[in-house]
Amino acid sequence: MKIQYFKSSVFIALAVVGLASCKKDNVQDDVIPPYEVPTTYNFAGANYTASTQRVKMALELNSYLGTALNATITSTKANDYFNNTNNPFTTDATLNASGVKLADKTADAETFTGYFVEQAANSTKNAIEATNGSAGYVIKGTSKRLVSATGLEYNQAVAKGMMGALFFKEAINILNSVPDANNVTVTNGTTAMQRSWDEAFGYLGVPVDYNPDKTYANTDAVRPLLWGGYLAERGKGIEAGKIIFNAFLKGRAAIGAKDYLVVKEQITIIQAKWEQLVAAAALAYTTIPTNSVSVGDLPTQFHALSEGYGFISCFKYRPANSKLTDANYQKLKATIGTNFYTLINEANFTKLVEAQNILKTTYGLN
Amino acid sequence: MNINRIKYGMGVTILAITVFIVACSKKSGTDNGPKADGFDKAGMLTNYADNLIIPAYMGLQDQITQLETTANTFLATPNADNQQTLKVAFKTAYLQYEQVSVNQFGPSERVLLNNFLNTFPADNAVIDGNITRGTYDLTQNSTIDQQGFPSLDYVLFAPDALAKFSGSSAANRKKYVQDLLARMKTLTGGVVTTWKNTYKAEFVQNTRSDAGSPIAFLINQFAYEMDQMKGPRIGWPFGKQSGGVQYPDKTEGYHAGISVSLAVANLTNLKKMFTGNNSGKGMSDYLVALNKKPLSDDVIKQFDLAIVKLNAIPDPFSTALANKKTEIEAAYREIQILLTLIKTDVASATGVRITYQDTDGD
Repeated sequence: MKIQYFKSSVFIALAVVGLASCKKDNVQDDVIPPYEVPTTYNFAGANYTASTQRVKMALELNSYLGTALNATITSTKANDYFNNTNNPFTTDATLNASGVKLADKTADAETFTGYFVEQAANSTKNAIEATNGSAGYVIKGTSKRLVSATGLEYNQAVAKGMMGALFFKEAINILNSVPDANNVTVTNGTTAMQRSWDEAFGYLGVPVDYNPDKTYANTDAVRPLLWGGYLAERGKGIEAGKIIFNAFLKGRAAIGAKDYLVVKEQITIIQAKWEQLVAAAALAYTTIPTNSVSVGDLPTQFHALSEGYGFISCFKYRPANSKLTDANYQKLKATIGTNFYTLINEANFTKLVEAQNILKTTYGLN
Repeated sequence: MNINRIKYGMGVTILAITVFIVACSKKSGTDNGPKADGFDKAGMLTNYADNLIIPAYMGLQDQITQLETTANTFLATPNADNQQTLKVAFKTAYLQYEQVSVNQFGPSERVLLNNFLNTFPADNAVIDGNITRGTYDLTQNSTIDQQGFPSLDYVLFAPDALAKFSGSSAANRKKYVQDLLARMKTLTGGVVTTWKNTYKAEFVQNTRSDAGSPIAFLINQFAYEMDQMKGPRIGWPFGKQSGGVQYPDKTEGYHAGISVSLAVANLTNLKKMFTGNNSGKGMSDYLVALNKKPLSDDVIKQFDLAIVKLNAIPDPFSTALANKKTEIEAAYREIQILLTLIKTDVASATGVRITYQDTDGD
């Protein structure tokens, strides 16, 4: 069902990224005819295939790195996934000939190739129990994880780190470029501005008819992926799914109507909420290890910290108007970069609690 | 129909609002849980704080102090008679601990009270190493199985305990006992203070039911405590997770031979917490106000049944594991039923999400 969009107030409250663009191409008309904002991303000509392909590639790469718990893996193979060489993809073999790869959109790519080397090395220790100072597995009951000498799961460092260095980073940067994009020349049914918007939307990893209130089954072929999954997993409390998805819909409709004020509003909304989602995840993962039910449970504590490690690294790519100061970002980095055995043994979890408080205060979380 | 949008010139003040950092921090909706007309939730929470939780912690504080006194008598003259007297005091204190075990939220959660007071089984080898070396840092979270009641249980009542109190490390051993008790006293005292000074106030006026609220804490803790009964206290030593392989020495209060007593105390207290000690201001009364009287009655009946079945198992539990399997099986079954009632039915009825089992998507 479509929704009529009316602008009825005289004063317009704007949340803008910067000053209104003075570019001649994208001038706001005096009168914008009313336009509809659909409830699904079914815009004519919408194309974000490459973004979706990268989401799927990341999932297969992550899956491969995860097998290190029970098998030896190689950084060569991981690089194949990263660079799309030697036909590595099997879950979706069409990715192999897609002409798309992860590497060229991943910031700090050498950090990730470094992680591949670490995980490959750790996989040779997957039959040995880990200790502080030597890699191996940690186990509690039926829960088992492969960790480095400092307790870090490198596959999580890759998975969550790349969610930042590729997907979040690209979405933020693309959205930043939207106001200045060409919204006049139509090629294959869409303008450059629309294509940029679609590309950013694709990195969210949600289906066209995404429903933030729905619990998607693991087996659902169109379930939200990567960031899409985190909209529910850690973003329910801040309504991340509803707000980000609706802003993408509204912005795309606004582009069609050349309603640039609204487009810029949605950019700010998306960027702020997505960053808050990063924070919500980071907060959860720096909190779980400090819960009394987690104490003594190394797999749970190290797994959470490893995810936290990845999510905190996402802040590097946060928008310029982020509320997270550089000083606090450095504190978060320093804390999560501490040996995990040290972190979990610290009386009163002082460092982790400090990280939690930074996140809570900066992002209004609890 | 066209709508005029008035465009302002470049001199217009543009209001930049960081709406979405601030506004979206508030939880959506009021989330005060299901409607329970006329039920005084604040009154219920006050009852819990004043008549159940704080007195339980104060009682534990007293008991640990008394245990210290009795322990010092034993440590001065470590003989069998004094050890027997000590065992009685130890049991009394441990039974009092079972009154606080379920209250692991807020002040006790912050200091990991349950972890430091009652992680069992203790790591006997590491404890002996601590004693031999004479140096250890009990504030480290990695030392939870080297202190508290389970560690005292080992150091004071293991078969060779008396001999070790006369051996080469006797002085270190005595100091270790005193250090353990001092730490237990400090941690418990801190929890009492925090409850009285600051936490009670925020506890009694938050009548919500969402994650992090007092009602959510209580329901979660009731369920968690039942999980602990089903697992570490009864089921796991019995072999339920190990295809029948039993672990008698991994029971609560193993050396003192009081595992069943502790379990019964734990379950009896849990029932008391559920009914708010029959004051009319307990979770059971809240359920009635929610039109769930049949559920509340079922839970209370199941508590009674499980307690009866537990009482049919004689201490020491470690021996019963071998020759009272029928009785243990019967108790285990009732515990499972009670667990489901609380973790599923009561949680659902009170609109509380069980959050202590964080099943991570990855």
